[in-house]
Amino acid sequence: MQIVRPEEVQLTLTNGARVTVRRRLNVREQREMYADVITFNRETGEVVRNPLELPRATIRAYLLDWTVTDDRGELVRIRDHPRAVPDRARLDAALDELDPDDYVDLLATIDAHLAREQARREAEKKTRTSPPNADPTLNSPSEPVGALT
Amino acid sequence: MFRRLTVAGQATASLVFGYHTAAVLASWSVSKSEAGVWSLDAIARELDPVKCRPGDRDFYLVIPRKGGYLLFPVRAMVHDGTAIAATLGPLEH
Repeated sequence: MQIVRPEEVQLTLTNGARVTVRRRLNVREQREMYADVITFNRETGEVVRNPLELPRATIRAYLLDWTVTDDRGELVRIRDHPRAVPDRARLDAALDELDPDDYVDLLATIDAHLAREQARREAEKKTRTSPPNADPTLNSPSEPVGALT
Repeated sequence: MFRRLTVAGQATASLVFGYHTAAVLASWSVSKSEAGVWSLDAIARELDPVKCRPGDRDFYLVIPRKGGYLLFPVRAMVHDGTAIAATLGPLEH
């Protein structure tokens, strides 16, 4: 069990634009992505899922940066520096201005990344070695182990 | 050239671990000693100890400035949840 390291991955869209995305979400980021597709009615207690918001929620959750330019050829900045997460309002505004075909391209590129990462993790699980007949209820070690501080 | 240099600012600097914010600094000063070692003294407005990773290749001090930012790797650091003292690597950006 590990904390998710904030790693970035560079992807290229079919139109040539480059995007930077999270390799993997941590629990908080995943929760925020799910929250983006759910509306909670406080009066009725009803929880409504809106599948139409799923593409945007996926892009919001994964996208960190891009090389998208405006009609003057200037970079459309979505984060303040290369170590920041995108400004949510700026990102939303920029996404709304994209050509619909480019939006689909962006989503497909991120979806393909998710599929690759899922396959990679599945492959890692298969190659992970564990001793045959390992007892899953071993006693706790007498001293703490690991690198958590 | 300066033999010693101290820079302090009004801009909200931050410590980052990758794209995560580890600390938001309410006040800060960065100094360069005569021996050429950079150091940080700061008061944090918010600090997440789990994301504070001094010595990690992705742990940086980011100071926004007009038209860009300054980027220092954080080599070592001590904090009490609010006050921070850190040794920085050379300016990278």
